Amino acid sequence: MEEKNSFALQHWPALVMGCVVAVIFTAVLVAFTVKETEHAIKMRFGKAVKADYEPGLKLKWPYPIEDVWHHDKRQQCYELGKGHIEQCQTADEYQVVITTYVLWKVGDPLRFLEAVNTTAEAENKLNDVVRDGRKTVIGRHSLGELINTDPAKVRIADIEDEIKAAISPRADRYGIEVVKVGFKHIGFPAEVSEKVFERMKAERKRKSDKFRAEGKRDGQKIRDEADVKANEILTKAEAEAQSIRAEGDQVAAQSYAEFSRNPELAKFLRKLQSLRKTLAESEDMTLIIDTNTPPFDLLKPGATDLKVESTGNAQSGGGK
Amino acid sequence: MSGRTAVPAQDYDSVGEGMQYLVGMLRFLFFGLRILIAVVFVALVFGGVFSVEEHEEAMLFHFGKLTPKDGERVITSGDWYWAWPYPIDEVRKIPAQRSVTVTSRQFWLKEKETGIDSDEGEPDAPDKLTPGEHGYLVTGDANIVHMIWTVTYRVSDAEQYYLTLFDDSEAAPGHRHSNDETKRGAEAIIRSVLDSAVLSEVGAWSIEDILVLSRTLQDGVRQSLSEAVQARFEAKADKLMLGIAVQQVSLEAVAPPGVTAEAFREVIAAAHDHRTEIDRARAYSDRARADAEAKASKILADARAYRTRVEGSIKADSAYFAKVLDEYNKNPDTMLVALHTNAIEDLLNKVKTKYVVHAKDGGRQEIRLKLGPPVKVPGRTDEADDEDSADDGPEDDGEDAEGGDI
Repeated sequence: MEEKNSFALQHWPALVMGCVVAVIFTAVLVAFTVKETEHAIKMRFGKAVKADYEPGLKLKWPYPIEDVWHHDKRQQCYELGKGHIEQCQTADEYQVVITTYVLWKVGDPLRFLEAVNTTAEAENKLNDVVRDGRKTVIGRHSLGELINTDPAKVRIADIEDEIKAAISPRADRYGIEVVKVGFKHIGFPAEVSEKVFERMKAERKRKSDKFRAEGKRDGQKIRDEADVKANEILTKAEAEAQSIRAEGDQVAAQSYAEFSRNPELAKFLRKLQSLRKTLAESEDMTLIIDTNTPPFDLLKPGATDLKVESTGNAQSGGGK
Repeated sequence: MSGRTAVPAQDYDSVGEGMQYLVGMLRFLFFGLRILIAVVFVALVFGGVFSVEEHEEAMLFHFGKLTPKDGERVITSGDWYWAWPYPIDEVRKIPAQRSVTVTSRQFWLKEKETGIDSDEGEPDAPDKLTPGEHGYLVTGDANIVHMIWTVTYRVSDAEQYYLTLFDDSEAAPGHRHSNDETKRGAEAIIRSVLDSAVLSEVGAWSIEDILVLSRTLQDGVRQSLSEAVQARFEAKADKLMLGIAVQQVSLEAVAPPGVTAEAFREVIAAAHDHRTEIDRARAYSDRARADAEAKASKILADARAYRTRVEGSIKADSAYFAKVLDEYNKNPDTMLVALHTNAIEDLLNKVKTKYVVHAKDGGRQEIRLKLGPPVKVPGRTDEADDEDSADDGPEDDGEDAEGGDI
């Protein structure tokens, strides 16, 4: 007994390592883990025997008696049409090219395992199912429901949901749960794109012509309005000026009453005033006057005879 | 016993040496094993220590099952933690606080083209666009436009993000994709949702609105294209419960197809011409108005001056008349002569050239005047001309004179 204890004490490292290796080896053979992110199916001689595992450490018989199949259960994205694009026809007979993506995950692990087994094969099945469903659904809708300047008429989300509803039962047969179907691209066939370019250029030409024509029209309108406004301002000013002048004339007319006390004298004084004013404005004037005009009547013989003469005649000529 | 074969003493010695060598080796190996066990133990103790950085969130999986640590399913603090080595425990760290940007070149002319800045210039100008080879978007008015979009987000719910979306780094070795290929995981999902949001939104916009990046809604509100796409993307992401918080959706580049670029430039030029025409017209309008106002001001000023002048003049005349009338009433003839004489005096003082003609009996006589500018005669000076001019005067002898006559 003492010899055995002595042996164990002496060779404990080898015993520990042996135990550890044995535990690991056994664990590898009979235990497996199920992750939160995956489905697991225990298979006995190739036949599924249990699928509804919760995450954690599980036991099984060693291979080849039992084996475990794992597959990620999270959403995956699959883009259809990579490398091969196909056309769809809308209800109003437009040819469009639509690329679709599918968010999917394993819905029924057992069915998935039996029907497709791998991700690649699942995507192949999805490719067929979605292409078929997409063609059917697109054919029920017009182009105006895919593209439209009226946001209320664009029904892309509805069409996507419609495709999802159409393909879900078929995908379910493969144990695939379709989470979302969406469009990644809506386009035209190559030949149509040429026509679109021509139309775009024509529209731009029309637009640029319209811009220029509208510029001239709007500019002319602004100018015309400005002229009208300027005339209004001048007309208003003229009217106001007329009124102001009338005020002056009215005041003058009131003062003219003073002249009615002796109209003849007033006329005489007015003539004198006019004469002075005319001469004041004429710098180069030649005046010819005869000796009958005072004070030149003094040049006449008999000027010393004091006899009052009232007025004389004056003749004036224009400037030389 | 006598039948025993005798063993040579030399052989005994060599066996003993071999055993001793073997025992020595075993002792050495056992010593090494002890060291190895100690190293494994130390590695076990210290290798399981981990921390969570500030920008990270972590989840601990015990035999694959998400196991709360300190009562938390998602570890967010920056403390130190310990876990068993893989495969017993596995720590999954998510850079939740770090912004991630995903770029979609799905709608650019060539998806693989590098560089997205505007410095890159316009796309090439193929005569037609081949689906699958050339990327583009169809607008609501059935025009074509090229765009590059990015979405910047961070993980808002690490557990939902990790447990909902496939992680490409965990793909089976045979199914892992190189960087150039489209993946199946979170990045591919978010990019696809972004593409879908962009496509749905642009499909409801006109090309004109897209090129100016905004439009006016029916209620008069101005809507930005980026904001509209972001709202649509967020709605889709929330519906899919992706566990992300969108920080920004940006339009990195937008361009019409190359073959139509000239036509678009022409529209821009026409729009510029339109604005120029309007600006010129407005300048004319301002000028015309200012001119009119200046003229109006002058008209009013003249009118006011007239009023002032007339009023002042007539008042002065009236006052003058009243005074003269008083004197006139006292001595009419003298007053008239005085007034007349004064006027003639003023007149004569102001007139430069004056002639007094003797009044002949009968009242009729002919006077000829030489009018008009003096005639220049070659060789004569101006002074001489002036003298001649000074000599010019009325001739009463009936001789002809240059110019008109009276």
